[in-house]
Amino acid sequence: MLVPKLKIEDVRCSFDVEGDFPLTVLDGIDFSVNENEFIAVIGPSGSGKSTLFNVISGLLTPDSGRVLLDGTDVTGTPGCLAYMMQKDLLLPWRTILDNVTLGPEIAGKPRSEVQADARKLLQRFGLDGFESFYPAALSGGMRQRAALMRTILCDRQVLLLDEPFGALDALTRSSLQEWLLNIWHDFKRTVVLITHDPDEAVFLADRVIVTTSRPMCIKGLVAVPLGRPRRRDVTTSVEFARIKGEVLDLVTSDGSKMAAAGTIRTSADRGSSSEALLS
Amino acid sequence: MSRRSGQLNEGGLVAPGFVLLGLLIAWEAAVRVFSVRTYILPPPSGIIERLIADWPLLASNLHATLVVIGLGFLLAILISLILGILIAHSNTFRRGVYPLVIASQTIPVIAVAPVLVIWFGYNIVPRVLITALIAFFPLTVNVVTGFRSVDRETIDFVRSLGASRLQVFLKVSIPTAMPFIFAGLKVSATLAVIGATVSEWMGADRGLGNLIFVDTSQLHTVRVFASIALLSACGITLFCLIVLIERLSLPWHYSDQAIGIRLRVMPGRARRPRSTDS
Repeated sequence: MLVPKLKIEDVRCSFDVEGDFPLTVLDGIDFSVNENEFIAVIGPSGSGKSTLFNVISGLLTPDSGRVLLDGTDVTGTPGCLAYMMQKDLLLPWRTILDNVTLGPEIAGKPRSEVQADARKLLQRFGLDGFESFYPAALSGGMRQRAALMRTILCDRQVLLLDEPFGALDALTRSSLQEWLLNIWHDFKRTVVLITHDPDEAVFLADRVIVTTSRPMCIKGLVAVPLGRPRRRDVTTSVEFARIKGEVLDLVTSDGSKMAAAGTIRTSADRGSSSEALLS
Repeated sequence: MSRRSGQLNEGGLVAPGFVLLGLLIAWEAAVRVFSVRTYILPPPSGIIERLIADWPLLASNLHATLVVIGLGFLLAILISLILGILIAHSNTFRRGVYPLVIASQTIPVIAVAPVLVIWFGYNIVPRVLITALIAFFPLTVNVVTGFRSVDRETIDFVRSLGASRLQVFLKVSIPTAMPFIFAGLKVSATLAVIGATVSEWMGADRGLGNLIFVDTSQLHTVRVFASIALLSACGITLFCLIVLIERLSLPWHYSDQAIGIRLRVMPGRARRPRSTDS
């Protein structure tokens, strides 16, 4: 049997809020990702998508459930996957070259070798000539490309991208999406991307996972049978519109249908009452 | 990132230099016009004359004071780093010790000085201790603030790369805290000069503080001013030295200058657009 690259097994996670009952954030998340597949996770903001990534990356240990990488249990073990967070988080005291090589440096690889490797890739990431600049001198799009280059240089099989283009303007975002597809095509990685933009999800991914708001569980999966390599003009095709419509239907579908389908669990009520308490 | 404090840039020293010169000329003129007695207020020219005439005596006392300043300042840095890092990283220390450190600042160190002399004798030890006690506090507060301002998300990110706690501390915490530490060092450096002077005043057989004490009692006001001028020069030099080290070790913190230097080094890059996406 084929072992999936990444398998998330019934992950549940809750936080203790000031008061008596725990706030359930992840309520039985279960999915798997195949090798070199591009998965997008889409759901309402504040639904716990970042918490899910913190669990997958090993930063957060879930209350129950497992994260399997190539069949090996990596739950609560940071450093097994490459994680790119919403903010670029470039270290302001390091030059671009020193920033993008942070991953191998922490892994203990020799600095000169790592930097030589990185220099060869600068052009590919549109950063050649900027390697000795500090991040403060770069535009938002360049910083994000540097952050992605750093993620790629970590040399992990699976990339977790948490709304990597969320803070950028629409034009920059659109050009970076196409560029990301090229990079993904060249470097052959397995990608899980969080987004709240249905266009971005459908344009980039092989499959789109639609989630509910907190407590988060999976509403459904939409396959994206668009050909590769994809160009921007695919977004105006009838097929693209149909898939996007399918995703939007799932996003906006209400909970009652879900409850009938048995996807929402009993703790949902507890979760929504705690949400009311928080607001 | 915008340009931070610019104490040492070229224009920075010229303007205060002119103001100081003007003040000195006004001082000189006032003393001459109103025929003020020298033991009340000596003219700047008289002070400079005295500086030259009594240089061997002043220099040997300056040397003694510099040793106290240096040792006291180093001790203050050591105390502040240990205390500050412990307070910043341990909740127990922050709750239990930090309030006491703050409260300790209400104790007049000058009043404690004679007690220290009783404990440690008539030697350099109480002087160094007093200097450190006066100088450590602003640095400690800045060390705490520096290590507390480390970005949570950045730590999570570096941990996600598989970094150990030590690697997080070395690669994230220390660089984040450095600008704060330098700000504290600047304040503490000037306090160290004051501390050393006070300590020599309270009980010493040498040093500029002691010389001022002796000269005042003999109404030798000109030399008192000469000593004050030397002490002030010590403070300024120490301060500028720290600013210089800061500039050299934190080029990213002065990113305007960092880019400026780079543009001058690589003129071809100066005309390159700042961004290629816009």
